[in-house]
Amino acid sequence: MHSPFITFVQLGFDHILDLNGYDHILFLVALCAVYTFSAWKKVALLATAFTIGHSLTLALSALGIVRFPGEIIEFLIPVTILLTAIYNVMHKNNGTSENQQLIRLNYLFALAFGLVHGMGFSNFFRSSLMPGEEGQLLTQLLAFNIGVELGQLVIVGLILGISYVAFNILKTKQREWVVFVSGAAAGVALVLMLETKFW
Amino acid sequence: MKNKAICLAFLLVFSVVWLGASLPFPAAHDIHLSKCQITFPVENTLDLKCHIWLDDLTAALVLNGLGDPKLLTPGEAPDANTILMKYLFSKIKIRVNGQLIQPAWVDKKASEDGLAVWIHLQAQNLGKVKTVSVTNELLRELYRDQQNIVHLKGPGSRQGYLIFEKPGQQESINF
Repeated sequence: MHSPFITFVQLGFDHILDLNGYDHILFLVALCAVYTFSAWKKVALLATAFTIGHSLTLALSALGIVRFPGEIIEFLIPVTILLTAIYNVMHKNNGTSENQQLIRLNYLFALAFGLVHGMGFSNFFRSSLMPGEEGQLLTQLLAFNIGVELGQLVIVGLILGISYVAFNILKTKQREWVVFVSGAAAGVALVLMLETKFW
Repeated sequence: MKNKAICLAFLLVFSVVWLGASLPFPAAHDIHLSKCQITFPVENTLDLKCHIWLDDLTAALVLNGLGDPKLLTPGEAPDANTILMKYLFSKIKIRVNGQLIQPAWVDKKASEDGLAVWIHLQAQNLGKVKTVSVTNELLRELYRDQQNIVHLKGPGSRQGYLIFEKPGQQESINF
């Protein structure tokens, strides 16, 4: 039998890593596609911006301050994936350049899209709350967020590991890699958008 | 050039949205989670309350050959509660002190958002509870990633959570 804290860490971790609901994974894939393993510090900052975004909307919803319609959010999540993928292909930044304007724009994207993903997390989180346990809400919220962060670390680590193999062992050109990964993410995002249409 | 590309990108998104509006794809929710609460209002009485999504529950009942009882609608089947108990007992097994129990029907009600049903069952005269074993395979026939959470409160001050996500998983707690 687990404590509420451990239970909600596990629920958050399992939720973001759920291969049957892979939209959050796909967003992180698209977000990290333009970065090499050596740019891990920038990826860490990007992931932090994404975390700030999704933590904010998750907390607002969990505390009952705002409510988000699940069907619209499920549609908007693949929209964030598609826009990130399109942005990757459109700009020529190679992930190691010091173009500050582009980097700032990336952080802004990650933060704004994090808000949307947090709304998605909140619908799952709220549906896992037990009646009569309202006093535990903050603990459960913190634990769920920690679980999501741990899962996010695993995903980003895997993505950077795969891109390391692609660049350093398979000698893939970076631009080809970015177009390949972003194209795949965009294609899946389009399908998800069609499957989750809300009107 | 860059502005042209941005216009093209948003045109693409707009086209997909329009396409989505004109095609008959079903809406989907991806929350494959049920939650149950087991409490002991008095020492020898066990309360079981389960929250299950209505669309998933209906699909599971049909898949198990129990039919669609049109739950919580004006046309609800007269034997809807019996059907629900039959399904619940085939998926949730609770043993108290090693003995399999089958709690009696109390009531059911729609969740606040109307998307799920809360089912309330109760078992009385259990004697002093020393061990509780639970298996919960609700909706696993529908989704591989189905998670079933059980919140166990008491008897006494002991409480905690069980997460069921593997076939045949059984959890036992000693008091």
